[in-house]
Amino acid sequence: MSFEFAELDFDCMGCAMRIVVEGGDDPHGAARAGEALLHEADRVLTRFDERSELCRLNADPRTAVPASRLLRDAVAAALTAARHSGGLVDPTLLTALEDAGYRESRRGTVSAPLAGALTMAPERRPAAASPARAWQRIIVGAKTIARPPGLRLDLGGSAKGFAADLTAQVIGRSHPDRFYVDCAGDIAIGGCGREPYSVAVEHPATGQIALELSISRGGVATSGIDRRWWRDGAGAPQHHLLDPSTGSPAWTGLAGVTAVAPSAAEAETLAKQALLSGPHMAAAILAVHGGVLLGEAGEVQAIALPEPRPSVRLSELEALVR
Amino acid sequence: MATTDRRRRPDPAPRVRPGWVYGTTFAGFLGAGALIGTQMAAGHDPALGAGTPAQKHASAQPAVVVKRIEKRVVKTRIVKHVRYRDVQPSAAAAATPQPSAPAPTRTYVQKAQTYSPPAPAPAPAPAPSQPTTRSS
Repeated sequence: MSFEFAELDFDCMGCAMRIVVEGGDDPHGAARAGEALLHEADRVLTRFDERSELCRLNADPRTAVPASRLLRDAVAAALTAARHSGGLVDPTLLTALEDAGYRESRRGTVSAPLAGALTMAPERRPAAASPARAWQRIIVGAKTIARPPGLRLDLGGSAKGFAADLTAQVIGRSHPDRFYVDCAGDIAIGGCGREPYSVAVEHPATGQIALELSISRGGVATSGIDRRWWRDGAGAPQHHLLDPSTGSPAWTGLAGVTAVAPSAAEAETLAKQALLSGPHMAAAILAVHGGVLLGEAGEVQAIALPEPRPSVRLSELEALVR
Repeated sequence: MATTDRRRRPDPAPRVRPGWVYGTTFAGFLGAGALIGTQMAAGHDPALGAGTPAQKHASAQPAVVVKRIEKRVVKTRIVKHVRYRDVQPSAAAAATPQPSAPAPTRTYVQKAQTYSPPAPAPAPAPAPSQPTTRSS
């Protein structure tokens, strides 16, 4: 059955985003409302614009800073991610991230093939939570956000999934038959109908479609080290997923992890947690809702998926049965 | 002395008069014709046989006459003789360099057609893109 649908592709949060709304009261209006909301979230939550509310919060010398509901909800989502991941998805690593070289937005930057980074990466080992657990000192109140002055926040690890879920709520009010909000790979799927979307999983190491997941409702997200990696002054590869215990990029043996969850924010958290935990712990982390482990050599391992449907590419099929 | 055995011939059968034969035959013919004519007049044509029971039943049914009025609509297609003159160049064509000499005016005449082929099936409706999850 086909419905009138709206599809919007646009750049936001330094990434390519897409909203698809099928059926419902006003699919085009719902899609435009979703786009406006994502741009608003970008203006509030970006760390690359000193005028954003997040940057003003980070620069504010007060302990408790009045904050908008959008910022408070986003910080609350980041704290939830930190709590559920045992501190692996840590929103307080901004200083370490800047020290690693990620100071400016990488909007429009195309990273080199991941193979070049993997050959020069240090020994693989799982990441661990920061002993300081600074994120536990952040308190989101009714009107304010309280934290030790000088403790700066980076919501890059959770903002896209949070924004996707928030946009999905807005779009869902128009009662579409089905829709999805794709925030650079962190996807929220919903709707009144039951026809699922076939979500393709792109392998970070090969750039090809490794699997297709059939999802009618919930979230799916992929965390990987291929999109944002660079070399420091000494030529050593760096990327944006830091080991909280060291403040350095985490090289765990996985190139990426795709997680399925009831929401995009949860999926994003699970994907990052599994990636940072390494291949041995990742399967257990994904066991609840399912996911896919994407190895550095192109391996594909489906975890707890009822019917993983491999694509027709022979190379991926061989990797799947390996 | 020679003897002669002359047997007496039997008496010949009494001779039937031809007129009698002809009269009897003609009378029989008339009788058979009268019988057949009587039966056919009663609707029992011996050449058609006795007929099937269904035919007998059908013949017993009262005849129903259905009058169907068929409206015949004659569609008249107006066939235009479309003549294109001085075709306006498209934007892409306008962007391409044109020769300095004026191009001759092209005239296309579409001949009258009494039959138009059925319109091609409409193209399938565009489907929305399927999502792809990738590291961001």
